Amino acid sequence: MESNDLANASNTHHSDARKIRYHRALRVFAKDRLALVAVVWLFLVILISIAAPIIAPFDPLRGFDSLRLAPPLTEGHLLGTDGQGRDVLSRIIWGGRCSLFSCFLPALMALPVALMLGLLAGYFGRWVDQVIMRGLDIMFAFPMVLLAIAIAGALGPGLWTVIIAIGVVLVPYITRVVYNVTQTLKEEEFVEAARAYGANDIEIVVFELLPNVMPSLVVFVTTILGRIIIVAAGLSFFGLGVGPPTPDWGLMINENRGFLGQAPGASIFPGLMVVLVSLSFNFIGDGLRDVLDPYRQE
Amino acid sequence: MLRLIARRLLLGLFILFGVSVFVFILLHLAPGDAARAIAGPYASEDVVEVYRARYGLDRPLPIQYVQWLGRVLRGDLGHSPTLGTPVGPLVLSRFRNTFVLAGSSFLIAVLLGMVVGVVAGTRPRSAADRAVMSISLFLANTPPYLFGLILVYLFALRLDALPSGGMYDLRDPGGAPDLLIHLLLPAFTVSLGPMAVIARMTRGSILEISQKDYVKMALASGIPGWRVIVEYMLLNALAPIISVIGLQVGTLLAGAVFAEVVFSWPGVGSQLYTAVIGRDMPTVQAATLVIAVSFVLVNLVTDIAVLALDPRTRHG
Repeated sequence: MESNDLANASNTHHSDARKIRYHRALRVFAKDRLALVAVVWLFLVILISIAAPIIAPFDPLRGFDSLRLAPPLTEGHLLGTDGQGRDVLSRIIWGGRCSLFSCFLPALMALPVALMLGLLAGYFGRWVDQVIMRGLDIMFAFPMVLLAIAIAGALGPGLWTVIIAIGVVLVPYITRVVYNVTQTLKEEEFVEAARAYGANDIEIVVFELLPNVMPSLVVFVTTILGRIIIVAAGLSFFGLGVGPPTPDWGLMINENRGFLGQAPGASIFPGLMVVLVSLSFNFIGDGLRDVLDPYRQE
Repeated sequence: MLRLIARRLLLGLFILFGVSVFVFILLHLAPGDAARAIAGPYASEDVVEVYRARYGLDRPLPIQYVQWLGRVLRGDLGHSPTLGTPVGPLVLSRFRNTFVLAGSSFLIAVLLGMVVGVVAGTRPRSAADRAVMSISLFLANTPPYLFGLILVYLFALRLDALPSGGMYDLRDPGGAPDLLIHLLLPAFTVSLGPMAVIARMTRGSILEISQKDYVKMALASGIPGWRVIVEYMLLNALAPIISVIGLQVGTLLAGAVFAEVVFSWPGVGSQLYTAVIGRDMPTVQAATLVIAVSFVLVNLVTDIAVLALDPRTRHG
């Protein structure tokens, strides 16, 4: 029947439109060579970290007494060994697990909290706005790293300490982005239209504002993941993360500090990994920005 | 404008209050007994009880906060269990060293960053511009603890040209020249991240300003390029740059903390490090408080400076 055909037609168009949008987005993203390389690199790093037990050439905890502080390109040890004779490459491969875990998880934890705070403050305004944003101002008064060190210092060293500390420190930054976008969006016509056909405040926030905040949010979170991994490695460097002998990039940088003269690689290679992963997040974030927000004024 | 400044000062006061509450709470965030955290793991139960009574740790938290605040304002920053001495004089004497390091890094970051930014901004898409953008991107993502180690390896260990750590020569402490040689690597390390950000911000701001009509008019009138830059562009570009500089002080302070550890620079940062490792909560609190308060004050000054320098910000 006619109405059936119409219904079928619109259903098909809906999913077709989605596919077209998705493919177009991929094409725009693929234009950014740097972002592509970054995605591939990040994917490799994640894959290798997960496959550590299979891929790592040696046990990261096993020290070869006769081969301490071996330079890179020694037989069997591509990146050399550290002060206890442990293979640097294997430790870097295993270390990726801690470092990546402690950069993704805080973001995941901070997101719901920050979304809620930012949407509420941005949409409802007045005293809700003031209370939330002034509270955040206090958190912004601390340099990010210092706040994380203070919280982690109070909680005591450990993997979850780093995750909690960074998660807490992240909330104000993400909230601020959500808040700014919400404030701009709430004046838009689609919000007015939703209100006109009877949506209440909660429905507007969840169904109208939230989906439209997501693009900017995704870009921001991806970019800030770069900073997170540097802070996480910094906390481990400070001795606030996992303890020895567990391999972790930040911890490795500090552990092998004393051997800089004989084996600089043991300290510097883990550091380079941190930099490369951080840069990847930055490039991917830039690529995503072109896809999701091409009209932004730089 | 005075009203805006007064409002900003009031906000600053409120933020300082919030900072103090947070630093106070730190002690109680630590798992375990707060009195034990102050007394240290090796103190006997009697000593722990003495501390509990002395600091009123069994009273309700708000009362504890007021008492703590009173002590802090009078200069009593607590007692360190690991060092056995009052924290106050310890932290404050080291603050001077951190100030030297952070101050010189600040100067390097701002001066070099702005110069590089102006050079890049006035030559968009040139080789120099692209080099600046890519190098600054790399530097902005290199943490100071790594970069410091690289510099130590290159200049101190390989080339033996500069000292690898410390503030003065241990065997033969000289005056200013000795300090400057020891300052070179750490200050440069700390300055790099903020310098990269300042350079990019300056470049962007200059680029934007150079599109404005009054700049094109000035150039068309025959005023030499450098005069246009200095007299027409810089002041107008300055306001957002100053805001960014204010924010970068945070990164600078954090970088100083790590650089002090890498270069064994005797400042508040390395003290924070030792305190964190030794679970010395009173010192952690004091060091955090000092650094945070400095940051708040610097931001206060920059915000007021922006208000004073750029009349456009007063009518936001």
